[in-house]
Amino acid sequence: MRETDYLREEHHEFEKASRQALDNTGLQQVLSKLGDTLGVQNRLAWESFPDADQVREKARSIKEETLASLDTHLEQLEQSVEKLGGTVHWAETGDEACQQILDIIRQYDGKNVVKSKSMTTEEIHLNRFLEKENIRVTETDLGEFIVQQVDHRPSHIVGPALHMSVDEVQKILSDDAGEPLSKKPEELTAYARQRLRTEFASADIGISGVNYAIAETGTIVLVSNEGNARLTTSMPKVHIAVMGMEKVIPKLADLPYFLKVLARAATGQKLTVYTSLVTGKRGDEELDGPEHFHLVILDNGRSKILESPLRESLFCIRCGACLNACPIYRNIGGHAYGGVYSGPIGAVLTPLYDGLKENHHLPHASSLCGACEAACPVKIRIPEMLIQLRSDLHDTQGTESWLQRIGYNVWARNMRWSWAYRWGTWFSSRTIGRWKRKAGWITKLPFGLHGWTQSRDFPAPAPERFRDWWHKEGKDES
Amino acid sequence: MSRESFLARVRDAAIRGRAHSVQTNVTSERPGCFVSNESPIDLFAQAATEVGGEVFLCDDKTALLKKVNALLDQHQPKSVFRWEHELLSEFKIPELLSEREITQCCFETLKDQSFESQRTAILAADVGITSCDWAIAETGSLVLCAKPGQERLASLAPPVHIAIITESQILLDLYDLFDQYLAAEKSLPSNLVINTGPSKTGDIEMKLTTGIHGPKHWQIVVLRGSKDKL
Repeated sequence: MRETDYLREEHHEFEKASRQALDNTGLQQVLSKLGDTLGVQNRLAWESFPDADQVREKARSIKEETLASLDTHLEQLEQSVEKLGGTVHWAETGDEACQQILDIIRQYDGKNVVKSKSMTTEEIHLNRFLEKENIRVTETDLGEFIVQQVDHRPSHIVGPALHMSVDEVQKILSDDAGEPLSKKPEELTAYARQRLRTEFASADIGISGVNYAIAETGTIVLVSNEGNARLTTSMPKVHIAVMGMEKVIPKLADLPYFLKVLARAATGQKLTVYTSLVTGKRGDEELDGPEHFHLVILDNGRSKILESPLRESLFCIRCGACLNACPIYRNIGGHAYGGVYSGPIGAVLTPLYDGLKENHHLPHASSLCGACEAACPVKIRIPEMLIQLRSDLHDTQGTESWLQRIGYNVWARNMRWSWAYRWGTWFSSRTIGRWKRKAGWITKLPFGLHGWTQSRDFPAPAPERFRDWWHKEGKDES
Repeated sequence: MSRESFLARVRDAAIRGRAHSVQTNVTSERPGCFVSNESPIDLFAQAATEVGGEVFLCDDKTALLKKVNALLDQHQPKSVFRWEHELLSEFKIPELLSEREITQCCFETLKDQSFESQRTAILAADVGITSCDWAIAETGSLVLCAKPGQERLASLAPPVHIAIITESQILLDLYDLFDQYLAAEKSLPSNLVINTGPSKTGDIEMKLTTGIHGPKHWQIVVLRGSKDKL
């Protein structure tokens, strides 16, 4: 059988892919810097920002109110966009969205598309679809452009090429240039600027994602540090924006709360370099900006999530803070998670979008340490959601072996009867606890249990039970 | 998939989802609003410098023009893409550029050209000169609104962006910007950008480089007081 290429293909082989990632020294070097850079910047931002908790709470409450009557806000958004002369398209699935986008492109006889970074278009695999239809698509975010050249999947929500070293980037861009470029990031960046300018100059269609869509005004909000989102919405004659339906917010006055937390969470900046509020097509007599505006609103499984106990995952504003905070992500990187979204939020979203049974490793790809929740700008309770998914998994037919069922049964009885628990702890401390007194760890469990110790050690029981110690010593101190 | 069935499904899901709504506890108005005893102009200069900009505070019109001249000396542009804005007219920037024999690209010169020749002229500009609609002290941002004469690409396409603004345009906090709008009318310009620093990327090994798509140099000349004192 052919080996799965984790850099390029989505997959369900979490354990195998993680092991590969752990053995990849180049990747490990890159990942080891993540905590000290973006991770620390996120923590500092929350510490230095007065009232951070209240702003996050407010952003959270706006998301909650929006979801409670999402349909009315979407309808208002549609009305506002149409009043501005734009067109709204409703897509139930990713395939449907791709087809609608293709139809729009054909309607204007478009051939060259420039794209600014968008996770939603990654989710629906838009590029692959358009290329099959002979449309030239160029990603213009530097990281996205780099990964597009070698057909990699983005490995981080805000840093798509984070998994690559400067040497790899130099090679990729040199191949594109047809001549060797220097390894200085400044010079590589300068090359990309010139290269992408020619794409912008000849593009007839610009496709962007949506960070927020304001129902009241029909405004699409886009944030970018590079400025490619601005070029994408200024130069081509047609602008197509693609949004997951949960991106709507009711009022213009709701926006500053999100802006105040988004960049701080993502990179520790107070604001992203460019926060664009795009309200319809260009005005009369204006010399730049699109002449036509289309908004594609995507469901693709979101309504299923909206009615489920995990609906809070729809609060996510795609900042990537939970990835930087997560000890698991910082060891295995983004590709191991298998889906489009990685890290803690990916461990929640991928099972919801792609199936829990297929992605049964993901809810367990967490130590439940809570760093993700602490970093999250809208305080999504990711650990609780992972536990909920684990519980759902337990209730899913055919995901548990007979050995597991017997094991849990014995455990449950043992916990229910206090005499059994007392006898059990006494017995294990007298036997294994005393044999392993020095080592403290069991490196290999017997029989069917050995799977547990394949990648980690099992803590040995203490040689003395707590209750015995308490009777001997602790009591006197209280 | 029709619009009606899309919305009907969302409605049902939203209603069922309310059973799982989360509790939030918001106690303050305008949380995280920036307060400081320092003057907005100094705060702005500090914040804009922190994000990689260069800020020049000028006491009067003469000092301001001297600074603008110095910046033009620094960049030696052949062509400048500029806004048509009352502040720029007030400071006689168009005249200054003519004196220096710099080609000017602006609304007046562009509006009757074809799409292609507009593009060529805009992409050839070495420096963009704009003013702003507002500036924000907390974050060191310029707020730029699109309208005829205030082209989006002037602050974006050239490798250098020079903004000429006055102290009276500086708001303290991001909230003030949104309140200004809400207090006035509810129609937004076709494009409004809150611009905080030169174009940046960290996509190569998280090393920060500037000037990837937008300007590498972000220079702001601020006149103390308002233009009315002239």
